[in-house]
Amino acid sequence: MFIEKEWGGFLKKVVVVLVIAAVLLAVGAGTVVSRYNRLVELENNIDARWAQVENQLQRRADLIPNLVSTVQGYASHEQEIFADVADARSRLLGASSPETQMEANQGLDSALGRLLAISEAYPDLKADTSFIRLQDELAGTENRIAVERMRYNDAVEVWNRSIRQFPMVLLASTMGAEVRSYFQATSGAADVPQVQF
Amino acid sequence: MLMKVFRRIAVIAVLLMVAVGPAAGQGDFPAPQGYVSDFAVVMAASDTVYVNNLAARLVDDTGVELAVVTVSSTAPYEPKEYGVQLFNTWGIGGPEDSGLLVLLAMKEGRVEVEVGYGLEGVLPDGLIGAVLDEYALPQFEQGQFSQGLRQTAEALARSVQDEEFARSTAAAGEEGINPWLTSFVIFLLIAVVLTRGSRRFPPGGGYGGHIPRGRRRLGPSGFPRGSGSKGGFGGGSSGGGGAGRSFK
Repeated sequence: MFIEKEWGGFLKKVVVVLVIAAVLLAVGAGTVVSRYNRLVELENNIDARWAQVENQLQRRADLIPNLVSTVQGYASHEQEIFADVADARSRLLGASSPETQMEANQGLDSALGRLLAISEAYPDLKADTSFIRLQDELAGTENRIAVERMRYNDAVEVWNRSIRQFPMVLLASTMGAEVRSYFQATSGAADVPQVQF
Repeated sequence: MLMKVFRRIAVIAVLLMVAVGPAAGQGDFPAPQGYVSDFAVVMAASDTVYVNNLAARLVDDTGVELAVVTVSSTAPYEPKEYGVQLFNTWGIGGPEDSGLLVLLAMKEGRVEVEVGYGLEGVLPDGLIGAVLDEYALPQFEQGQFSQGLRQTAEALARSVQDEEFARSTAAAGEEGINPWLTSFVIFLLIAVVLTRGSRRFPPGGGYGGHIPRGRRRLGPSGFPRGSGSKGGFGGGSSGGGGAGRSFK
């Protein structure tokens, strides 16, 4: 009788200890699982965001042949600028990594800036409705690039911060997670005439 | 006794979940006053009513959500950036991102039209620029802001009148996996296994009421996305498409 009582009390203690251990284990396992999922989600997000930037870069490149041929209709002798724009465009289309794409995009910025500046010298070109439409399309594409770039940079920022923070850093280093680089805004943006009216 | 421990843990888990709930703010933009939000007070009352009715009919007929907004200044943002942020904060457009925003910034002397992703094919930037050149600028340059906005809204509504987009329903939040929920489920599993092993403490009911639901999250991975039907808008988003003009 007495022994049985003693035994029951001991068993209760064991159960309590086991329950506490189980809670800790569960919280730990749950945390690791959710942190891991979060990291995977963050990394996928960066790639998805970059794909959006690429879409817009592609869209910009697609607009250029039309723009060039419109300008050529009024200013056919500005061959040097046309060649520069064509070069910059093919460099952008040929670039494959985010870094080289960013660089090529900046090259295109300055070439396009000079192409659009031509219109100042040709009033007929400036008033041409298809030129105005193309400029709107180009401005819209540049705004879209700006938006997608911002979203990409936000994604990179969250990722870079997450993989450096404790305890995520433990998980991140075992996953081999690397710091990603930002898409910088064009350094020479001030030299590029704004496509505004 | 075991039951008590379980129950206490469940209560603590629920409390924690409430405590760590979402506390995300969406920036300091004013709430919409309807389809027309004349914050700069430049519109005639009759035009406000007219455009509001026009926009209401447009939603019924096409699913396109049109917002007309005037502000005295967009500082500290550029007008374009303000437009994109306002668009995404309000969530203009239905589930297919069929939103349109006409933003007039008085101090900056700028009019911006933002299109949602879903309307980009119907309303290319060049077309929007042409609408602004034809209907907005001539009026704005003479100080006729109310009339210019009304005619711009009419022209945009005409351009999309044959479209058919999904209507917004009650905002459908996304369910994310809650870390606490994960822990709780694992805990329950372990607890069930443990208690099965001990005959003296058979598992009983009684804590079912504490099983928590996954908490709602604002958007995919914390990116600003229209997160609900604020003022009748349906959660649409824009990626910076559209066109703008300066009128000063």
